[in-house]
Amino acid sequence: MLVITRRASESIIIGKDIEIIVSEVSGDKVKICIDAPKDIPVMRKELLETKNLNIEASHLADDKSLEKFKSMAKVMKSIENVE
Amino acid sequence: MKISNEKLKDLQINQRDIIHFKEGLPGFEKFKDYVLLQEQEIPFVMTLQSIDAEFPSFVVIDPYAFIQNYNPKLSKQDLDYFECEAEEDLRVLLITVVPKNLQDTVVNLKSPIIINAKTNKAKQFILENTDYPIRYRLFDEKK
Repeated sequence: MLVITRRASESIIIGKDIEIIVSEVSGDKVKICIDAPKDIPVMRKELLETKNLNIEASHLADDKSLEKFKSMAKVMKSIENVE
Repeated sequence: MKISNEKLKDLQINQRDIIHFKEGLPGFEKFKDYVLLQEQEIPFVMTLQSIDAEFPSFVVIDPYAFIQNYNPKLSKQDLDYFECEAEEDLRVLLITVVPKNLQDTVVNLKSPIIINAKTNKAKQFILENTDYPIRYRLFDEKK
């Protein structure tokens, strides 16, 4: 992995037409501007991971697993109540 | 109203029960209207079901029934989205992946679904400034 140190207002060029500009640094936060062609998707990693998990979640729960999950959840709750 | 979903055919849906995601959910941007199917016996496990098609259909849980100290903090901007005066009106649900091997069940703590119970306006938020995992193993990490 390439590691580069940049200061505010400095930038990095990727390929021919993608520019990543460090716009502001304060504490543990960095504000970044990304200049890229419209057909290149840019998103926060958490959004992509959430998207992937949603797609997985929408497919997997067949009725049988769901019933099992519900009874397991019920057991979990009843143990908690006893404690 | 007309329902184009096999599962929901026999279900009577009131217009006011429809939960509206203006932006859809990540990965399902086109599906904006859902209902929450709930069994009286297990109220903390629900199904968030699209009213437009059989899929998407998500298993969602009430986090407070399972995860102690779960405390998602919405930013001012997020709260403004709901035009909501009292935070008590907001309901929190977590999307759950229920696989064949139940031990591998994961819930997304980082991206809760928030519903304004008064208006049924809903959105899946990605929390900032938290270390909550996107794949939290529900049955393993439980103490």
